Amino acid sequence: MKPLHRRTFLRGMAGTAIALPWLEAMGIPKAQAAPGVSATGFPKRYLQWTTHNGFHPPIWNPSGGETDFVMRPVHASLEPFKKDLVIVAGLDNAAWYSPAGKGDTHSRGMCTFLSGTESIVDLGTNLTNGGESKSSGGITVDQEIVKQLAPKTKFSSLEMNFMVGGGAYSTSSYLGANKPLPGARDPSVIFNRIFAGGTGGGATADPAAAARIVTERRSILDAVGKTYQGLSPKLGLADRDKIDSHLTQIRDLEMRLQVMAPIPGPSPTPAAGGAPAGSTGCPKDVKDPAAGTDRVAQANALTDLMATAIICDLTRVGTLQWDMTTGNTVYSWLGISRGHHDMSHDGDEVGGTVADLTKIHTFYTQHLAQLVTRLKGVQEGNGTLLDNTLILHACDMARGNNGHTGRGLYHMLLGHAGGPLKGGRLLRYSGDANNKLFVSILNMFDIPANTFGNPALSSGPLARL
Amino acid sequence: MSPRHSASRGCLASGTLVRGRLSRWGGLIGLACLSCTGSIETGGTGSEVPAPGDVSGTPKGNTKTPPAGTSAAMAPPERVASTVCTTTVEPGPAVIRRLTRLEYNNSVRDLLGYMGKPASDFPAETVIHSFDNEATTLSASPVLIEGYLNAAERVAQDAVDNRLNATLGCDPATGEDACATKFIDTFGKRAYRRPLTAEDRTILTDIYTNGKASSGFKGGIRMALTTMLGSAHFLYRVEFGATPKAGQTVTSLTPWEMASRLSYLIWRSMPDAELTAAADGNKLSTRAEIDAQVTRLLADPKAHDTVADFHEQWLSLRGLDSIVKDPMAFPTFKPEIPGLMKQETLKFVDNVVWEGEGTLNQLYTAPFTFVNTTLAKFYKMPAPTGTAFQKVALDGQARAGFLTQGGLMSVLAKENQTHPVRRGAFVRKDLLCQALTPPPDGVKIEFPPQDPTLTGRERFVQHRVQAVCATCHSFIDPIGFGLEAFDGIGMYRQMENNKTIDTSGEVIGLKVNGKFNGVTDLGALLAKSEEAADCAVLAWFRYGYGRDAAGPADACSLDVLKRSFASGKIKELMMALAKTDAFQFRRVIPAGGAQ
Repeated sequence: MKPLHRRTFLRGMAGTAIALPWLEAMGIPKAQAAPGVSATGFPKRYLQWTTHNGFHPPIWNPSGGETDFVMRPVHASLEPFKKDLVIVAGLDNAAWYSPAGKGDTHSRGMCTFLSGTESIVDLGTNLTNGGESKSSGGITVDQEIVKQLAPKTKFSSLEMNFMVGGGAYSTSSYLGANKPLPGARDPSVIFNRIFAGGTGGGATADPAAAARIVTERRSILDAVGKTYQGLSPKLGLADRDKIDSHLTQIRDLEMRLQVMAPIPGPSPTPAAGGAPAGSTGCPKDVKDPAAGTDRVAQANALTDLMATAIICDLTRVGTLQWDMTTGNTVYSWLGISRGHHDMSHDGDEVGGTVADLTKIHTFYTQHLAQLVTRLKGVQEGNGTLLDNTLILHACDMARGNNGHTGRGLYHMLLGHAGGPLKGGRLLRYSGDANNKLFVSILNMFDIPANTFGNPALSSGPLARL
Repeated sequence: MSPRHSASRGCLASGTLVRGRLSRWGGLIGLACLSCTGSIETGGTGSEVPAPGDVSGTPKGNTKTPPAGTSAAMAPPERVASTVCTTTVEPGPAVIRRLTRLEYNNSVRDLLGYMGKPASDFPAETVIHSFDNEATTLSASPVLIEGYLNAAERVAQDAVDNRLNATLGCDPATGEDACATKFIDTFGKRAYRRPLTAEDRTILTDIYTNGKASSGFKGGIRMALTTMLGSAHFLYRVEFGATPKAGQTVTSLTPWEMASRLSYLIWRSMPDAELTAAADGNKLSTRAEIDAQVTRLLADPKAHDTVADFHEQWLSLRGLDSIVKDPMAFPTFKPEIPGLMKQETLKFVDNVVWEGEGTLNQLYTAPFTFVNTTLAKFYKMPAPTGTAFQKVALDGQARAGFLTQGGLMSVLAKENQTHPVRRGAFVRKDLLCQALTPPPDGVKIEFPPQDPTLTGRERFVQHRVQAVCATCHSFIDPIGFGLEAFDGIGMYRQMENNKTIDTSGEVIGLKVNGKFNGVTDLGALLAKSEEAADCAVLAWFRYGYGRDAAGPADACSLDVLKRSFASGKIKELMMALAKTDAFQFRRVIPAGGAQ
């Protein structure tokens, strides 16, 4: 059957019940009550775990077959979760190599690796053709999930960064072309935003006062929104797009305030915020991590904050970004004295580099295991929250050393996406476009897409996944 | 550009090609390395802007077909004469501009006296071409929207708690609603930087009434103020232009739009009372009126902040905020040093621009700098008396001009050593506006390892012997080697690994190539190049207008700026920014929004 356009589908979903055979025609199992909900009735969650400057295949590449594969020491901390993960090896970043793409290898990787859309150059000028291109040309898969499922959680998505934010091509997540979603770095700032006082400034122990603040804020946002609404039609198309995007986000905040009042402080109880019925594990008391400048404490805090936000159902979509392309973090607390990006330009034979890259990737993986452990520790129905989660571990390029490349990528999928993903597998491909993986992910979240990113690059889901 | 980015320039010692892509760039040697706004033609992407110095008197209007704005019907101000300009006014694209964090902080300071810099919590802007105010990239994100709400609440609460009478401008005892109406009209006009429309008044009066009902008069004022601070008309620089005549595609600006353009150009902040009064009296329409205002704005300390902000960004000094050096390699680089280095360059720039010759040449060559006791000790220079920064004379041999100052040299280096490629690339890209072609795919790139027997120049030998590398690095490396007189933390040196550092070389790829002997000679050579002057013009264009120059559409505006910069004086360039088509006019927004 000819696939239906997803907008058509969702328009239908919004208002009326839809007969099951029609759902089946869309390839959605009968048992499913609503998009983005697992067969057992729990919300599906999607997380992106992004690392940068490339994998290092010699220390990364697992050996063995589809089910008897052997992971490298760098992944030792994920060994207990082998049945909950799928390694997808050998996809190519098609948008990177598209002739329409702009910029050098750094921007071609960073601006495309989750969008499947070519990178764009600022302002359409041809004055430079160097490394100034800085944006994805389109939406990334996490935000597509947000857009299509529109989860009614306090935050439609949460973005956190271990290292950077703000520079050119420094962002993993995009709402669209030229619309990056920079993540927050400081665990205390994140804590205050998501746990203390709602959107900030409103922490109060008095529920009546809290309710009044919400009412007031909604009135203000409504009035503010009218100034954008009135302006938009008077503008040219490009400016209108910008103002409309601002307006949409004001409305989104207005809606989120309605969904959930500020959590009374000073010891907030996120459980009150609405972890799903039947789910356990939302801590009664979340404290400001106050990580200061200690990088290990920061890494632990970000990992825990993301886990807690998911467990307490404050969001269902998130990105934890560990660095950026060209990010030259010196992982001095691991005993490393050189910048990560500088090392990613070394040849394999440069003394010490491989050992140092191993330390960095082990550091990431240990935190990933920390996150997975938290999610797997939460019971949902007969399973765990991890069963209803999909974590995509991706990198902006494949191999960093010996020439940055976007071919032969390594992706790791953890969790079961609410049912459809069977773990414990190593799947090898030879050059399929990573766009196919994104289509598969959308399908796992009950979004009946057949393409994602630039449809000219590829169509259909990833076979065997 | 990001210094990190250029870390990738370099070629492997052995020059190995990987992944078998030789055929793809087998003809590489025939390609030029630079695609530029400067003088090197690459045939494809560069040179849409007239070549630098192309002011020979040949009118260019007949070579392009600009939109049909008609200068005959155009309201004043008069245009500056330029042979590149035709009779057709062409202002280039005008993108709606969201306030940057700096502009937001400045605006609430000047609007309400709020000094708390609330925008410092907002997400950082994207940096393009060195600057954070490129309008296209200033988009919204949920964190930003929440930040706007929080900041507006905080600022409005502060105003109501601490400055209500001054903010109101009327006495509520004589009638609360009448006072609120007056407040909305007069304060709203300052916040929106133009007289309010009936639609604005309705929205603000409604929210005041709503707030008064639940929280009393003060609550109503607070909520109206919060709404203003979150509105599109405060957070964005909204322009429609003066009502065009039928068929016009270009129009002049309303007086209030012109007032905002002037104040954000020179102050990065909202118009003051005098500028607003000039707009009210329609006194911003002639060349003389605008010049007088620009002269007045430039005399204010806020203009110094703008010059500092421009150079902090252009000269990569923000890199000092997060710089990390290897303490084993550089034990004297204590945590306080980078901040002092930034002050050094900013005080130097301020002195040159406002108290010295004020020229670009002096920025490149001045034989003095500013240090305090700690920084002088770090540089092993004679310490000035007292603890404050002081102007100190240099011998002009080891150091002269901003290129030789510790901050820039530290940012353009690795954590444990120098980075001649990064330094050379910075000069090409940021100081000469010559874009570098990235290394071809498939070439293995790495930084040559440290070697206790070699100088930097010797370690990068592969860049010269491998043709594939030399194509580009012959442009980049000689400049970087000239700067090898400064180590990875900007300390002057003549020896490396017991060998004399050769800081001589030749800068090619300029209209007038030149040999140099030593770093101050290099600075002088660059300073007198047409490319450096034209690049400073382009950088100020980008920073001043919040957008890149758009090829033929901005050719006339760039030419006006270049002519005004013939003196090399930064202040005159800033004044000229208010004289271009790009500044004085805007394109008419087509009915229905098609664009």
